[in-house]
Amino acid sequence: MSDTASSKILLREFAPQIEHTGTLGKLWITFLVGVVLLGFFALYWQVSRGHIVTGMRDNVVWGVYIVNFIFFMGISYAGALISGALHLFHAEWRKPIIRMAEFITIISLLIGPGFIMMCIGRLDRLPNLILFGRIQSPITWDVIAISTDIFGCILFLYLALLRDLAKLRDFDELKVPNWKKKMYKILAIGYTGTPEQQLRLKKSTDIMAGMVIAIAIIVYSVLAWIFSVTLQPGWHSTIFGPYFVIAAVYSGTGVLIVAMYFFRKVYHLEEHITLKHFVNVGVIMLVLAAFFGYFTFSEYLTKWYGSEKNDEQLIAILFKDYYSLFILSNYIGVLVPLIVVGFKKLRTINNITIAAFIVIIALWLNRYLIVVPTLESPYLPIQESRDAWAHYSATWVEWSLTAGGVALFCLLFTLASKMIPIVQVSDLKEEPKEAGDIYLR
Amino acid sequence: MENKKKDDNNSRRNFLKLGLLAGAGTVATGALIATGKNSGESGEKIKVLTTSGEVMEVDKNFLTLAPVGRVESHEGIPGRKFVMVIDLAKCKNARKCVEECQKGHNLPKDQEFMKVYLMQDSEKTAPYWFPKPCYHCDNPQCVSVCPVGATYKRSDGIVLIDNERCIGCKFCMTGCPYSTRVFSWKAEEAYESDQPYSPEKSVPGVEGTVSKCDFCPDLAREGKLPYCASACPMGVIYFGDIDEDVVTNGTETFKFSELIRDRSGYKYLDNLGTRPNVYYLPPVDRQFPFERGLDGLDEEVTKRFENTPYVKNLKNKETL
Amino acid sequence: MKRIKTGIILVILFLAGMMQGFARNNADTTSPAVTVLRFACVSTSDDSIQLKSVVSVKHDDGSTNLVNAPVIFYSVEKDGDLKIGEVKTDVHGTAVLKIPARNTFLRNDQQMLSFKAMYDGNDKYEASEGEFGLKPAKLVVSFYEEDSIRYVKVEGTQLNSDGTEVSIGAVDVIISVPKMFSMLKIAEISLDSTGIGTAEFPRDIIGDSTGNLTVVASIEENDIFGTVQGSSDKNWGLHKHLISPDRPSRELWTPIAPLWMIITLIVMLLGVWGHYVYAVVQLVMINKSSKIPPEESNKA
Repeated sequence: MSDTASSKILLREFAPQIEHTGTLGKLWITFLVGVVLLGFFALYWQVSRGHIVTGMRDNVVWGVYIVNFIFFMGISYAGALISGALHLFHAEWRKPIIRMAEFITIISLLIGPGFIMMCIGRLDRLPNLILFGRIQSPITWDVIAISTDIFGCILFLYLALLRDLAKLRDFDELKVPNWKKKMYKILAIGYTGTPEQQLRLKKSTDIMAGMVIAIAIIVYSVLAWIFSVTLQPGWHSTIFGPYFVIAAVYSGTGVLIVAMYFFRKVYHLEEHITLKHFVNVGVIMLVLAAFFGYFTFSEYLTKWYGSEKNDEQLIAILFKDYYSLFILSNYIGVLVPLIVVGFKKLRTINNITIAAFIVIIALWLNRYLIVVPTLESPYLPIQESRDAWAHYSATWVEWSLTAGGVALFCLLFTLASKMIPIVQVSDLKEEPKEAGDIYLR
Repeated sequence: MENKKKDDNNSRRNFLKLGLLAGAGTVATGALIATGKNSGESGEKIKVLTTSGEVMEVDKNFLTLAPVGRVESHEGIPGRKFVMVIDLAKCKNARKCVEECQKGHNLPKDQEFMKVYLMQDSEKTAPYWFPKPCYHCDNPQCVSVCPVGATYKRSDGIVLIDNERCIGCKFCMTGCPYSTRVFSWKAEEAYESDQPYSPEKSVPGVEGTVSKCDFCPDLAREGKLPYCASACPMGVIYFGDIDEDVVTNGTETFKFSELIRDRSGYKYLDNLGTRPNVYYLPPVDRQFPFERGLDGLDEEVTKRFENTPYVKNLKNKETL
Repeated sequence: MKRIKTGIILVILFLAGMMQGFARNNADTTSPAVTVLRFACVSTSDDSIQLKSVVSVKHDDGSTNLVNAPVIFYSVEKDGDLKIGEVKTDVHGTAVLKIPARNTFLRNDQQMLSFKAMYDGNDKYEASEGEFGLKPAKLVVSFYEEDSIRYVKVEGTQLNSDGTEVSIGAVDVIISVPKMFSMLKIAEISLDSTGIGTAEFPRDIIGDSTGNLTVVASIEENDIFGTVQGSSDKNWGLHKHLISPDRPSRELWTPIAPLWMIITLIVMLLGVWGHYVYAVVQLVMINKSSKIPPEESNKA
């Protein structure tokens, strides 16, 4: 009975975020909707005028759309690997942040593929991917892998949500519209927490946690193979699979930390999400930073020393035209988290969040530096009188769509937190609270 | 002068050849026979110029052009395997191949299936002009990565693109190490054709799809050389059936194996494992000084070579 | 919808522009366009002569073949031209008339036949004509093998006006094999005084899939004989290797994927989706278990 009581207390605490939205929240949502609409306008512009409105041309045929695609697919790993792995290792501290990680996964998984669609010249022929699909093409693998991944992640999230949904259904004090109550009731599929149900739920959650990790690795490797199966000097690399996987989880932890920071502030979760959580996720980020730095280093070091003609050309472009971006993404983006989390004195919530933010930017740039400079240094020299055809720079259409994508991500995240508590209510009670854990400011 | 003479000679040869092909096999009966094509009408019409100065529609069966639909164009010309040999010793960047190809394929001005590069392998080596069509590789990366089979390799070795299936993902463009493919970034003036679409017909690409050099299979079916080969005034481009071991540029005909052996023919970037079907003859014993190729170009074309080390060097010398 | 509309408008504008272009073209051509008639005669081994003419219209950027133009062929004789026949040009601008080599047209002092092709023209196009003189001749190609070396034998004869055949000597003959786009020259020989010439036939010429090939002997643009061609088939070629039958069927670039790629994919998909199904089944069981004892679900 103390079970129900404690969760009732918790539910009372989290109910307000579901029940109403403040003025600031409304403003925030309006702003996001505005940016998303801008993105839709840009999309309309591109569809009606053709791809000529983008900065992509015959040499650089892929631009920020592909970068965004890789980026969003990457952060979807926050949920997959972090929640999956932490679940399997029974890391108790994960409980307050696991829901956020899973939300990040699903939402970015829905937005990511949208960006690859924008890169496609004939959207009206998308059914051809299924009608005439060839298994030899990594794009076909991607279609299969991403849809499998989306299904798996939704299932995993749902399994994790089930107990909370049941609690929300049974929580009479909740002041929400009837449709929301109905939604909870249907989604809870009659889960009441009988021993048999608990066992079944645990079994399937365990299985799905493992599957989600496995699929996440496969999907991101497939994504890397889109690049590495080609003969392009900067892409044709055997370590691209693991490199992309590491980069993905790395960016995922970055997004998770930033999300933790904002939800903690906005929903006053200081009691549940503490410095301990930031430090723990920060340590994961630190380890990943080291791995990421290591992969980046070996990737470019061998190219630099091996110095095949075209590799040399690529290295030259990276260190000349893209010098500052390269340093920001591959040095600052690795060193900052190492230093901030590495030194105990620097470990504050603010510092870790800033480091995480830098990681997000750096990782986006990292993908940009993988995609664009490679296409600007093909085997045959670019002999082109039109500068725009030789060098890529994204146009307002591409930037608007990028902004629209980010805004949509934030919007869906906000709306999701209005549907279901952002913290896993049913699990919190299990965690023994220590006085030292509650870190206020 | 020189060109014109050659041109006349060329057409005369073709003229006579046509006579032979038309005359073969018929036995004169003593009566006066007018040979004309009187086969049944197909119902499909094609526009031609008539004696009254007007455009007339002629039944398609009056043309030797075999009607090749979308399905047949996936199969290839039976018993053939095409190969191209490009003689770098003779190229002087006249760009006739580029122009005729654009005209023949109804391409917009900024799309080139055939490109001519100014190449210089390293700082001290000699520069040369390098015409580059599609290599129609035997291990085509572009075909391997296509998710919908819109680009495919046929039995005659030709790699074609079905513009009505292509989704425009551009994966083939990154897959091709030779930068051969072009994308239709904007909608060009609608290309009107009264014939149904076929990847073999020389029609420009559809907006949002990829297109490239196609080795002119529609001309090959008529026994004609590709536009680039017949347009080149220097006879740089040889074309033929590698299984016949014969290539020709319209005026000269060589055994392919002998030409490659005697002139040390090679394939460009063959080490990538793509197995191209275009061979190059190295630029030795050149017929023209290299610099000739820089004369008389459009401003737009001259500008393309501005950033090459060779032209930069040339400018430095001038300023000194 | 809007795009379709603009498309239609574009097409209409395009058509209108085209019509206007033609109309202007018609009005401008007050003086008839210059036409070119190319005319040549070819003696073939089946004892006939081909009179062949191509009519084309010259303009700034090249020339276009004229279709449906009536070309009248004449035999040029001492007492005036004798009309042989009229042929309309086909879509390639070509008009061909085939006449027997043994004919009754009168020859000139050098024992040569003379022919003329004429296009009369109309108010759009100027008239044009071409003339060609020749002595009918014939080349017969035969084959023999000696000491396992293969030879092509060419026998050249000319046809006198009285119907007798006399060998022709001291004439250059090209021996070639027709290929897809052109003729591959095998040898260039000179006929001896008896009108016979031989050439070794190489062993590495590729024929069709059963080794058959056509050997053509030709006298080209000779002052007396014009162009003479004779041909014969022989199975001396190497068998043409056809790629189509042994074309690889399961490669990365073929329509059908390599077998192990399909197997790997199926195994992976079955593995993953199998686990999904297990998880979903558990959920269904949870749902079911809640329905069986109704009092239990009310309790919570």
